[in-house]
Amino acid sequence: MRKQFWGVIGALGLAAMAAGQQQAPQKLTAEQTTFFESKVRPLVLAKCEGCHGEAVASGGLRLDKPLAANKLAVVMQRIKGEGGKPQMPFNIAPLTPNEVAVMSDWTKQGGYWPAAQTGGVGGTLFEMGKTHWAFQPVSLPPIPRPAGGNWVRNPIDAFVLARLEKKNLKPSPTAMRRELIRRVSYDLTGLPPMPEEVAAFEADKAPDAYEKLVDRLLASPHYGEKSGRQWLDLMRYAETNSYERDNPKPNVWRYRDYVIRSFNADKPYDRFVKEQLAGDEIADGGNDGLLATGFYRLGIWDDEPTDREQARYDGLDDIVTTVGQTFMGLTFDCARCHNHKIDPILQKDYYKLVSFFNGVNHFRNGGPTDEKPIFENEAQRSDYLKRIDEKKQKLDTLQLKLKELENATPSADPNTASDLEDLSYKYYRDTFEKLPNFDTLKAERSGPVPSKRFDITLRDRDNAIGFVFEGVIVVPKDGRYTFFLDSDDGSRLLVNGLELIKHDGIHGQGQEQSKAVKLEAGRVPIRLEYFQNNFGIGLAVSWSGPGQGLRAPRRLLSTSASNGPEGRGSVASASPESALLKKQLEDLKNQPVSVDRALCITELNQPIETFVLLRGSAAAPADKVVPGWPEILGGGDAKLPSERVAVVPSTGEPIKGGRPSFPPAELSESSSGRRLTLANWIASPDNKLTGRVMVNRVWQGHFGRGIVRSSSNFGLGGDSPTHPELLDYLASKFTHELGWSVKKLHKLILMSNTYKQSSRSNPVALKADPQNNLFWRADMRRLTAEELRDSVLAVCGNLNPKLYGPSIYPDVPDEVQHSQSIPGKDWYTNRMTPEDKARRSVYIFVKRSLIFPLMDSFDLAETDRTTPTRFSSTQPTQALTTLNGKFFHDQAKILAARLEKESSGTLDKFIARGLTLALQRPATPNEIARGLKLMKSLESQKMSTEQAKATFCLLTLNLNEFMYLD
Amino acid sequence: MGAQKKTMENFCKRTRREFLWEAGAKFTGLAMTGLLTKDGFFNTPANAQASSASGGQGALGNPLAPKPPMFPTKAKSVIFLFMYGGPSHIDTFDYKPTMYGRDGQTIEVKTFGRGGKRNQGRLIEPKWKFKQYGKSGKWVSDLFPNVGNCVDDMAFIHSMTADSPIHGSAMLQMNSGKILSGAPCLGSWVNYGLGSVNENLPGFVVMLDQSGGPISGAKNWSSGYMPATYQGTVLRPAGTPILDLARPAELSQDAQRKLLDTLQEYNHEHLTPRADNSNLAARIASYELAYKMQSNAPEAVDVDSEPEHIKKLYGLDDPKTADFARKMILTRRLVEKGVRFIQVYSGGSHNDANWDAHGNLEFNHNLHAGRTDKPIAALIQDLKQRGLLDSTLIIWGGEFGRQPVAEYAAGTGRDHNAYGFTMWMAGGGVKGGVSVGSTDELGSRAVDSPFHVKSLHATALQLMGLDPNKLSYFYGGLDQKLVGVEHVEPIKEIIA
Repeated sequence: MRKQFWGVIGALGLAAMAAGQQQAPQKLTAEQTTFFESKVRPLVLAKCEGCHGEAVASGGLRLDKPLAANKLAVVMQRIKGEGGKPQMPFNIAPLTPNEVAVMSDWTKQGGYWPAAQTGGVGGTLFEMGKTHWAFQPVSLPPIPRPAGGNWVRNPIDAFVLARLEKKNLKPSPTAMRRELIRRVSYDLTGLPPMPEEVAAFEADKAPDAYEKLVDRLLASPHYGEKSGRQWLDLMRYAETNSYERDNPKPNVWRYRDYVIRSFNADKPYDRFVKEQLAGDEIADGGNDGLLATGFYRLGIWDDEPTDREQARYDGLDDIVTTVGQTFMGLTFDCARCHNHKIDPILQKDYYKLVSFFNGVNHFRNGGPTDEKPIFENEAQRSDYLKRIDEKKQKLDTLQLKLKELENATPSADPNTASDLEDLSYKYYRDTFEKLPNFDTLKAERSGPVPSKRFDITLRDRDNAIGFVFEGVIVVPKDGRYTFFLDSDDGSRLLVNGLELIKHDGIHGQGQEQSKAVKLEAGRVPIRLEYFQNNFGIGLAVSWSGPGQGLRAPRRLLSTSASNGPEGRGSVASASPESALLKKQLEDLKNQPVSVDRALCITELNQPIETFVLLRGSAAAPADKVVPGWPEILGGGDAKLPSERVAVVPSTGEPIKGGRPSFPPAELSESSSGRRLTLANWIASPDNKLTGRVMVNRVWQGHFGRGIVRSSSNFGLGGDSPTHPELLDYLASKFTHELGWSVKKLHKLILMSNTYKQSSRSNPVALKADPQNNLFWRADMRRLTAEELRDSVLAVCGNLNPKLYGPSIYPDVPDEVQHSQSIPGKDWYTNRMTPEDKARRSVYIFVKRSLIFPLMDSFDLAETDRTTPTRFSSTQPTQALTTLNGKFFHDQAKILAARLEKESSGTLDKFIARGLTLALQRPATPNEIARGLKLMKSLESQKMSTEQAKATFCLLTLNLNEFMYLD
Repeated sequence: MGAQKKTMENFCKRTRREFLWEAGAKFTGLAMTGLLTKDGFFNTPANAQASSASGGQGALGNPLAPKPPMFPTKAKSVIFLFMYGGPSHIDTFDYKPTMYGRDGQTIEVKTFGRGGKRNQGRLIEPKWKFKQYGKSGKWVSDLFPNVGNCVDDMAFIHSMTADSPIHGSAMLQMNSGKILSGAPCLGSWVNYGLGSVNENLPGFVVMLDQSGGPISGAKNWSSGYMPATYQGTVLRPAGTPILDLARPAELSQDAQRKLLDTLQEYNHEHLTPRADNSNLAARIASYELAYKMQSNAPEAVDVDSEPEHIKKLYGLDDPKTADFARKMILTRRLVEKGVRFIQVYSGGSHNDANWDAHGNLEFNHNLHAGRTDKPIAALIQDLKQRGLLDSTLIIWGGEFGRQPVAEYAAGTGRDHNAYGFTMWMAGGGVKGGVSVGSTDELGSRAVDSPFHVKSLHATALQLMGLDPNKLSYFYGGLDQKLVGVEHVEPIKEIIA
């Protein structure tokens, strides 16, 4: 039974009153207080406060405050719809006479509004939350003993039957075997059973025939594909970033494979949760631990946000939203700008959650802060590190040889030869007074520097500009080197990753700074930052050291400020030997050291302090918060590890590329342990929500709806469970006895007689419970988008069952590709073989701005936000796709060819086999005759037999019975 | 239980709709039941009433069934002419006489565009002359001589502002109100609120530029968290107008009809023992609708059947304007057929294929205004002469405007400007010949009564008879609105 939500509030308000015996405010009598708390406050909050409350005071009127004397009459007038103005509440049902009487009494008594009595913010909601079912500990309820006990196969049936009997209803008979095998096959693998499997199951008289079937399906590798895709919906899985470029994310498919593998391996759900939240912080996390954290990187990402800090908080919000709704079934995200309006969730609770994540590197779409190498074992790792080291050695050797050769050339003038290599620049246009954090700013231009110098002639104006140069300096031999820096205005030199000279601020040239540093021979990273505010301009950088002769003349690293680039190329005429060396060097540089990488999370050296942000604005920080638990779930600060946690070490690659972020990315070799603390709290049998939410999702997968219909919202605003005891029974069983095993949970549910009921209606039950709230039958369902496409391929006999690996790009019609700003961008159909294109739909590349049309048409999950339930829409455009689309026509031809082979030439066998394949049951004579009639009639219109057969095959793929499950 | 009830609870308040929407698996299955009954598809209305096997909301009806507006209103359709890339307001409709003669001057002005934030720049004077038009004496540049003749039917908003000067997020905001992707577009909201009176054509149609889609592609006409029922359908003005609309060559209409008749025989047999399931019936009906669409849609897009004087009026005879003229004639035909929301893009792809004039302003704007001026003016005139302008709201504009200063050291290109720009509306209850708001003397930012994109959206909804602060959709624990959680006033000054 599902009550009107506001009815529930009223009831809870009363209950709270009865239990509470609160202190009455001084000026009110006890009678008034009872009247107010039981009648007025719930009513006003339910019907008025939405428009006349803290958030919006429509017409300047608030009803959740003491009413001004001059408003009392007006309020009553509007409630009664008198005076020619719209009746209130606006556009919802008018108040009932009883409610009008309450408001009338209240206004007559002066419209008082005492403060909420539980104290603090959101007091009323907290009062209601205290008794809300989802905030109570999970308890193992007593199993009922219904009268019709014969039907009870396991405790699930007892709970369901007890409710049915109360309503004088009976469960439906067991579904026919062929209906059952079809239902359970799709539910567990997303694929139809073969007709032979159906026949065998129908013939199997063993008492455990069904159980064997369930076990077989649970053991199928396709189980992970089906369950995995449901999980991906929740995790807003997509493989691109959305926005203007909608670029691919690196290695995202490995997260998808991790999910599928985890379901196939029946990884305990608590472990699965911990890995995704903090696999990198788990001591034995391994590759899975790293791959799982790819979940953080799945969201939308704007590479050119208007406000980088706000965009970072949008990214954190995406994480809090997904974590809150998916794992805990609570909409914490509604409390980003203000206290939750309908749940006892404070704005502070939201930011406490944020602070668990406020030490992670913001996404940059690749590079060492988003990707780490993964290894099967230690040997692989050390081999990789060895190869990295070897490459560096080789590069150094080649570079030094080349340098020697250049220095030996007579034309080698210290003022023209360059000691810098692989130099690139970024150019900024803005007014700086000090060196900014360039890594958080968007560069106007960037690219290689042809002159191989710190070359500020690459500018296009003389004021309000900045440069960052990055490259390597070739150090000829080990020793102590001195660097010299002079600039107008500020500059900063970093050698080997460390700041050597800082000459910041606005100043003229002529105050040269210098500093010495010990360096090893070879290629050493160097970075120079520079800005010019206004008036004058100049930059002079040079160095000297032991490698450059006894007197160590300075060698210039910059160009002069005013003239064009000097010393273009270091050797006037390259000798064949140096040309060869150069080529070798370039080739080597371009050879990546191959390794598999995981899309993953990394942390900053220090978590960022978190503040409650007023109205959610990054520019308006208020109270500081630390990681802690939501008030309604116990509150208090989280006990964080006293030391930073070791994580998978990085490989020392510099953080390059990507887009600027705020704060700039850092690559910490350790982690704060905050996420693991959160993960342990969520993935605990004591958490009131985690187990309930997951068993409800698994239930939803088999019954089309959860015991709680709003499967990602267990709060006051969500639906109440139709079978609260059953939900608790399952949650308790799942988190204790079954050891969080999802497969065992599936089996428990699938073995129940409740699941096995027929979907057929009966008039009595339909009248008594049209919504099937009591589970008096199974609900029919349409195939999901993936199931539809996979089934077509399977029925036609060309489904490629290959598991795992990089995503596939099946054909997308040209006209659809043309809706992209660069038609065909990032859609690599031409790399696909026909077999690749016939793989299961879970492997289709998910491009946010170009959803594969068939998936889109049949209600694929929205990609940008966590999706707990898919739509199941019915639209004429779907029929156009399945009647006229190329995929369906191609497949129909393939099916016709298959049937030709399998039907030994006669037309009625052709038809019978076609229907059997599509519907997984024998065709009736009537159905065969109908097919024959169609084909005859088509042939009479001069259609070729071949074409008529293909047309019939197309028909089978459009049958309702093919698209719907009983 | 309430079906499609626009419950007026505010803010995060939950409504019964949450159940309906979140239990999506059941919702749209009923999409067609309204149509079924209307078509006499069922002999017994009880079928359409029956609660479905899958917990159906029998009374829910067709989500696109026409619904009455919240209050009486004139406008029935919206045409959104999207000038993708961002037309320069000071070179089109926002007359800045004091800028002439100052070309090349370095001026102090705060700007924020693709090239970041700046404090000064080189002034580029408006590159076209302005003239006064109509009784209202509105100043319009020589880029739009034909549109200029319609100013007395148009209302200009000169003080538009948006949150982002970057195409990706700005496009999303202009279409969906949010700079984050994943929210439904204006067209989705209008169809959600009002439904569609023509079941044989999509209620939300998008026509793209010949050069390709805008950046972010389908995100710009996505229904976001609403069901696909409300997303835009790309309509091609030539060839097959809708994806998969054309039968494959090997299947004649007659053969397809036979296929459908037989299919429905099978489906009816399947339905008989499952008669309570309206989803199955809805799917059966959807095939009939698809069949009708196949003949109706090509007829709707048959621009060539228009009389010569109409083709000439729109400029179909001139290669320069022919493409946009075709789309404008098509737009009018769709309006006549009751399509609720039509969005037409001028400009697509990248660089100078759209209004994004970073390099050569004159080349760029001459090109795009030249292609669209006459067809747009013709659309206004044609709608008016047919008595349809009153019931059709036209919106013109891009995702932002452009800066008063040059972007580069050389050239006339202007960078993006979300601080102030111009959009106009016409028809559908809009007051003609008025202008509201203003930018500073350089057009660098809105100074007088700035109007955020939200205000534009609020105005469009208001004109369509939908209260922008009440039209809501429950998703993710919140009553979502196109205009956001805070109250937004429509621009009353331009509403007749």
